[in-house]
Formats: sequence, C-alpha cells, structure tokens
Amino acid sequence: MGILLVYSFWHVTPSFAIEHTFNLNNYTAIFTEPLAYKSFLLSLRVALFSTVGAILIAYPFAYFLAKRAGRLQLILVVAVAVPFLTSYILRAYAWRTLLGENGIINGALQAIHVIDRPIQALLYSPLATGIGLLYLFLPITILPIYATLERIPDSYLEASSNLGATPARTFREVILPLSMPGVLVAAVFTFVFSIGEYIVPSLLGGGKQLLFSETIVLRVNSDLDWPGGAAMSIVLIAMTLALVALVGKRARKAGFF
Amino acid sequence: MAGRVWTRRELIRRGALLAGLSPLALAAACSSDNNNGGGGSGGNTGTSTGGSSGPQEELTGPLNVLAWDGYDNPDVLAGFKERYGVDINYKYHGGDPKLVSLLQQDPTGWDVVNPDNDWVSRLVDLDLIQSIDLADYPHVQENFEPFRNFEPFTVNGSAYAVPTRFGINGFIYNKDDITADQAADAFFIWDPSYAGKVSMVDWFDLYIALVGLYMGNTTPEAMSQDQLDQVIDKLIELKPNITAIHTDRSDIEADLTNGESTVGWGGGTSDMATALKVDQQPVEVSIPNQGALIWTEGLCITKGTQHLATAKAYLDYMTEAQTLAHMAWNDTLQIQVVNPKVEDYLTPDQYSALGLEEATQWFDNPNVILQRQAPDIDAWGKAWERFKSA
Repeated sequence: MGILLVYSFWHVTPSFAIEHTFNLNNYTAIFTEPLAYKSFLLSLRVALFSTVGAILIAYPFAYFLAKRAGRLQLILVVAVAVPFLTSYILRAYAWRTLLGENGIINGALQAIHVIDRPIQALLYSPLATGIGLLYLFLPITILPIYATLERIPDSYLEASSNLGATPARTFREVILPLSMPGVLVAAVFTFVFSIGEYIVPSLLGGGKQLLFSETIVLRVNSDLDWPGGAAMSIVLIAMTLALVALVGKRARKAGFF
Repeated sequence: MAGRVWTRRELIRRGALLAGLSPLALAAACSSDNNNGGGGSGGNTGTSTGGSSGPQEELTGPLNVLAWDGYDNPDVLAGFKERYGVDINYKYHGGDPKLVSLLQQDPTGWDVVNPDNDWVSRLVDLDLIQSIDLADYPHVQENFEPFRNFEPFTVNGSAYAVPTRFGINGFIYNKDDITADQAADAFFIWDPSYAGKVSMVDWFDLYIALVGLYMGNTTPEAMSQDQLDQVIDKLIELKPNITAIHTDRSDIEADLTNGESTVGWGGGTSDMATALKVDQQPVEVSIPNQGALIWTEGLCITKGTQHLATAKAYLDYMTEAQTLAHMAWNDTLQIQVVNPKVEDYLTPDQYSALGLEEATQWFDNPNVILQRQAPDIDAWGKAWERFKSA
C-alpha cells in the first residue's frame, strides 16, 4: 500500500521510464480525463446495481432459509456455499452461454414469444457485468443476512402476531430492523467486491465501456503507466475504506453493532 | 566480445583442467564466456554450437525466453534440448507493452524476447536488445523475400531480430451471412445492418493504422493530428456495430463460433481463420480493397543476456524450416511462418490451409503494408482513449 502510494506521485515518460518527481497529475487526471472518470462512474453504477439486485434476491431466500426451510435448511445452506468450490472464472464464463445472442435466456424468451429477436445488450454490456457480479457475490450476500435472521427468536414473531400485527407489519417493524446489521454487512461486502472486480467485466463487459478496474489494468499493462494505475488504485482503495468506515459508524450509531 | 576477469580460484581450476585436457578443451573453455560474463546462473550447460553458428562454443543455460504463445511447443522445446542439451525457460509475455515492462524490471533475467513489428525499434531505443549479424543465421535467407532483410527489424543499418511468424490483419467473415464482394470494401463493417456484429481486440496501434489506411493514408504512422482525429471519429462511428473489444483475441474466435458476431476484425486475421476453418466454421478471410496490415514478430537477443552463445543457437534453431513447421501447425495453433520451406515438413493441405500459397500475393499488393514503422505512441494512445471513452 505504501509502495502504491509513493508510485502514485511519480510520472512515466514516453519511453516508459518512471521519473521520481513528486506531482499530483495522476490524481487530477482521474477527474479530468474522460476515460478515467467515466469508468469510475460506471463502476459505481454497476456495483450499486449488483448490490441492490443481490440484496433483493438474497433477502427472501435468506428468510426462507432461516425461518421456513425446516429440514432442508442444512442442504440449502450447503447449496449456497457450493459455488465457491468451483472455479470463479468458470462461473463468470458460464454467463456468456446464458446471456449470448444464441444463449439460453434469449432462446427461452423467444420460445415463449416475449421477444421476436435476441436482445444483443444482454451480453458484452455493463448490464451483463452487473448480472455476473450479482450472481458471483450472491452467496456473500445471502449468508450474513441468513445469519442475522436466524438469530431472531421465533417468539418475537409470535408475540407480534398475538398483538394483532399483520405479517407485513411484523416484517416492517420487527424482522427488518433486527436483520439490518446483516443487510448492511452484506451490502458493504457485495459493493466493495463488485467495484474492484476485474475478471467479470473483462469476460462479460465487452470492453466498449470500461469499468474502473479495467482502466487501471489498461494504464498498467498497455500504457505502462504504473504511477497512473497506482493513483487510480489509491482512489479506489480510499473510497472503499471510507465507505466501510461510514457504514460502520452509521451502524454503530443505530445500535446495530 | 568484452573479456572477463577470472578469479584466482577459477584460474587454478582452469589451469588444472588445461593441464589434463586437450587443446580443444582450451578453446571450448575460453569460448564459454560471452560478453556478459557467461554462464553462471547456476543452470545447466550443454553441448557446443556447430555448423551455421560459427566456432564451437560451449552452451550455457537455461535460456530464458519471453515470447508469445507457440514458443512453448513441446516439440520445439524438446528439439532444442536434444540438439544442444540446454533447457529453455519459456514465459508468455501477453503483449509488447508487457514485454517491455518485464524486460525493464529484470534486464538480465531474459536472454531472448519476441516483440512485434515496430516494437523492435522501441526496444533498441530503450537499449534493451543487442544487434545481431544476420550472417550467423543462414536460414533467414530461405525466408519469403521481404523477411530476409526485414526493414522494421533494422535500426541504423544494424539488424536486431530474426523474423519468425507473420499474418495479415483484414477481416474474417461468416460466409453464410456475408459475401466476398461485400467484404471487399473495408467500410462494409460500418453498415448499420451489422449492429453489434463486429468483434475486435484492444490493439490501438493496429486499428488506428487500419482505419487510417482505409481513409487513404498510405503511411498511417505519419498521420497529422487532424488526420488522427478523423480516424478516431470514424472509429467512434463504428461503436454501435462493435460486438466487443476483447482483451484476448481467442474471444473473437469464440464470438464467430457462437454467432455473437459475423465479422472478426484484426487481431491476427489469417491465423484465426485457419483455426476456425480447421474447426469447420464457415469463415473466410477478406483483404479489403483499401488495404490491410501485416504483422510480423521476431526474436531478439537482450542486452543483458547471460547466455549469448545459447541465445544465438536458439535464434538459428528457430529460423530452421523444420522448427518453424512445428510452430506453424500443431494441436493448439496454426499460424503463418516466414520460411516457405516448411512445405517440406507439412502436408499439402496444411500448407494450403495456412494461406502460405497466397502470402506472396499479400506482399505484392501495394495496399498491404508490410514495413510498419513506429507511430507516435503517446498521441495514438491518447486518441485511442478518446475512442474508448466515447
């Protein structure tokens, strides 16, 4: 981290040599060069999409797992964790088969006459990256939410019901507040992992609109601009740490932890 | 060759050896030193060079080779080991900028490197590779004529690389969707009917040069800033038709196979087409009327090599038709090589499928650029970023 920080203030010459002179150009470039700031904003959007999407899918599943699965609970928890045993790249790559123009999703939509022709934007787009990230980090989203829901005593739900609360009100006023620490942890994990991810965007994103991680790799591998890449990495790390600190502070203030 | 100062222990050891061995051993011992101090990275030593590589020299190793894929072909590696008794440590570099980066980080860690086109002159500018005497490599004279004294590998009158492989960058198109006449005009890929159907790779100096050529700049590297801007505007116009800008050219092959795209543009058109044809895909290569670019890669000896004699033997070995035939056609790769004598080691079908029969037509085509020069990499890099951020 220290080396990265020192590098970020240096400069690369056209002959790829690194000049050890202090300057802030690499940082100002992030906010003035269109490729850098556009990719940063796109990364934020995609990470937000995958985080919100993952929580919306994970929460009902985690609730079912914690409160309704019965004897299936152990099997389902294992099923959630099993994808981690397979290759991460393979899982991302599999989405090409699903999202492609001749893929399973387009095929199914055409078969049931929802669409006339394949949707091209499903693959090689920020949407594809968002879907890939959502899938990839879904287990990380499910497990913390499941853990907090599982700890809510059933007697609380029964008491709420006995006092005349509808299931919706019980959820809104008992279950959701008590499960918020898990939701927050899941959201932070998913967002942080998503925003720095490189493999999924490079496999599914198509390279027409770069994410910030791809721009960092472009800087380092193609431009040989290690200082430029280091500055971008520092910004990404700083933003991630700030987010974690902010959420942690808010969560403590709300009495979640 | 610069001399080396022997330590007293070495002198005693070598003196004992000299006393016991023949004068021939004296010659071999002396010649084991190369201009970088010879040998001694704790690796193996092999037999001597002979024949075309000049005087007998003891070979040291292992030889560290930083190259594109294909140079790790088991037959090629085993053939060198069998002949010279020296192992090759191969590493895939993954792109010319990465090659520069790895070589700058460890200038003495690599003996032979494998750059493309104008990157040879950049490596010379960076003082990372040394000049070679083409007379040491007689098989080079068996090459297709343009590759015997290949201009982009020559800087200030000195040769710095032996060419090994080449290919053309035009279009690969799906014959079921596109006719040869359509693909003969380079601008057909801008037609809105090909929305989302053109796959390419992230190779900025290739595509800027290609579009420059299509727009009538016969020496794209010399384009003015205005012309460069026009090229980028033209590339931005193409964006709706681009399936993806891949980081790996194998993804172009995957797109054409899966039907994600109907045109593959650049990225090594000819060898990708050969591989796809071997897989029975309905594809064909088009060299558009506006022109195309040939890529050529070569092998260079680094300035910091620890095994000069072995590096020279390796370059000689790699220019032989039999070695290049292994490179040209194997289970994992089918690719054009610069020595047409590979015909003696390939089947007629293989030779034909590689497109080597048509190669001379490419060289004779005035719109096909073979002698690529170095562009202003900084200006072109910034221009490419404008395209990518558009």
